[in-house]
Amino acid sequence: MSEVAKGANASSASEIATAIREGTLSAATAIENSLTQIAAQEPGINAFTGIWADEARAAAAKVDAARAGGANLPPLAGVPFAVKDLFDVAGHVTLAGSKINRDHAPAIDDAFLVAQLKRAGAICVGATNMGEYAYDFVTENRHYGATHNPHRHGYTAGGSSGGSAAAVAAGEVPVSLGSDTNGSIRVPASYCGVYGLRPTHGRLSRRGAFPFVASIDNVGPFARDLDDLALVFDALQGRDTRDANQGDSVPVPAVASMRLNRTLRVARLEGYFSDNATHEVNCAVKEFCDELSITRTAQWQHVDAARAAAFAISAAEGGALHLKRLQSRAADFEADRAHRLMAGAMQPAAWVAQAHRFRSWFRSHVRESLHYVDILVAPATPWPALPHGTATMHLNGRDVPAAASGGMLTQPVSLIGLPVLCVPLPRAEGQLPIGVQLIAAPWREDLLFAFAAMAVRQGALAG
Amino acid sequence: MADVRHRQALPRLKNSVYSANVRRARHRQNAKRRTSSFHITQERSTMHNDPSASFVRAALGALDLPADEATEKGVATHFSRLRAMAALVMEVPLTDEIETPSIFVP
Repeated sequence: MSEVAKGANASSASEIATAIREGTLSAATAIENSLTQIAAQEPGINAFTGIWADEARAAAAKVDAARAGGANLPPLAGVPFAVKDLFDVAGHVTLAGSKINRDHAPAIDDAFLVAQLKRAGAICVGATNMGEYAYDFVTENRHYGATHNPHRHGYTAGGSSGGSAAAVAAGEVPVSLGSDTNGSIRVPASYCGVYGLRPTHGRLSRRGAFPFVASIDNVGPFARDLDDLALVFDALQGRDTRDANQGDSVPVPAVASMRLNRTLRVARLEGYFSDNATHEVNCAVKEFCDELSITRTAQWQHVDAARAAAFAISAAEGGALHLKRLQSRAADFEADRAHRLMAGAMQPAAWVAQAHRFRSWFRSHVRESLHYVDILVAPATPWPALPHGTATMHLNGRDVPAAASGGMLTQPVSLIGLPVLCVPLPRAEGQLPIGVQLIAAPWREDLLFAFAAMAVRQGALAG
Repeated sequence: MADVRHRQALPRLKNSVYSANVRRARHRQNAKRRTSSFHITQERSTMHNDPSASFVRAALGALDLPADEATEKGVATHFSRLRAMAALVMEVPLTDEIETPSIFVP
C-alpha cells in the first residue's frame, strides 16, 4: 500500500457538500475530520504553514446553524479547503514562503478567490507551504521546511504550490488553491497524483495573491477528483472589477461541460515534449493515448526558445519585483533564490525585450495549430517526483539541473497563457504518480473538462 | 617525440626560467579550461577572465546589491544560465514588425 493510501480515503468535496445539505453529516464533523487528518499527516508531510482550527470550527458552526434554520445552503457549504500561503486571508499574515513577509501586517481582506470559495460555503482550514516567493519547483523551503510527497517520504511534492498539492493528495483537505507562473500548479499536481487547473491567463482574478511575474502569473485549484475540480472552478469564476489583469470573459460552466458528449479532435504533442521526458513518462503518456485511440500528433516550433523566454521574463520581472528587498535584506532570502533574482534583475534589456517579442510570435504560431485540434496532450513533468536535494538528472543525452528542469514541459505552455488541465495517469501499485497536460485554445476550459470527463468514463483516468 | 623530450628535460630544468614558464603556461591552460564552461565550483581567480563574471560584478555595484564573494559566485552561476537561455531566444529570427505586447492577452 502506498503511503498516501493510508489517508486518502477521506470524502470528496461533492460528497461532503451533499451529505451536509441532506443532513447526514454536520459541517462541524466535516471540519473535525479534516483537522484530524491534518494532525495525523503533518508530521510526515509538512504541507501547512498555518492551521486555523478555531476559525474553521466557528465557520462550521455557522453552516450548521444555517441548515438548522432551514436556509438554502450554497454548493460548497461546509467543505474544508486550504490556500497556498500567498493568498490573502483576512486576519493572517501572507508569508509567500518567505521570512521577510513575517514583518507584514495581517491581510485586511480575503483574496478574491478565497472570498469566492467562502461565498460558496467552503471553510478555510489553513495556509500551505510553498517555495520562497513562488520561484521554485520543489518546495524545499529553508524557512518552513520541505514538503514531502505523500506518496513517498523524502521525495519532493513539486513546487511552488507543493503544500497545496500534498494536502489534497494526503486527504487533509479535498480541494485547495495554488498559483502557477511556470508550472507551479501542474508540476506538483503531476508529482502528487492530483488534478490541477491552470486556467486561461486572465480568467480568474489574481487580486490578493502575492505576485511573482506579473505578465505570466496565474491562479487555480487542486482536487483529488475531476468532479471536485469542476465544482471549485465554477465557484471561483466571477468578474472582479478591481483586477486589471482579468479578461472580460464569459464564465464557462465546468460541471455542465463534463456532461457534454461531443466529438473532440485530439493530438499528442511530440518533438520537444517527448524529447524532454524520460522513457517511463513517455510510455505512460502513450498508454493513455492508446487507451483513448489518440493517433494524431502535433509539433510546435522553437519550443526550447519558448521555455527560455519564460525563464528570462520570469527572472527579469521577479528580480525587479524583489530588488528593494534584495538591496536591504538579501541575507533574509534563501541564498540561491537571492542570487537567481539578482541575476534576473541585471539582465540586459535586449534579452527581455526579445523574449517578449518572441512570446508574441509563439502565441500566433501555436494558435494556428489549435485551429486543427481541440485538445493537445503532453507530459506535465520530465520525470516522476525526485528525492529531495537531487542536483542533476540525465535527460536526452545531457545533464540538466533537476530542480529547475521540473518545469521545462510546463513553461512553454504557460508563456502564452493557454488553459491547461493537469490530470493524473493511472499507475501500478508502488509507482510514483505522473501527470499529463491537457491543453486547449484560450478560454476553452469547457473542452478540457469535457475531454477529461470522457477519459474518466472510458476508464483512461481515475475519476 | 616532443613530449618524451620534455619529460626527460624537465627534471634537469626544475629551477630554471624555462621550468617556471612551463608552470605558468600550464596554470593558464588550466584556468582557461575551468572558465570555458562556467561552473559553480570555479575559483575566484578564474572569474576575472569570464565576461559574465565582470558584468555581474559591475551590475551588483550599479544596482546597489551586496557584492561579497559568495554573492558574486552565486549570481554569476545564474547569470551564465540566463545567458545560455537568452541565446536560444536571441537566435530566433523575428521580423521587425513583431511587437512586445503591452498588456498580454492570450
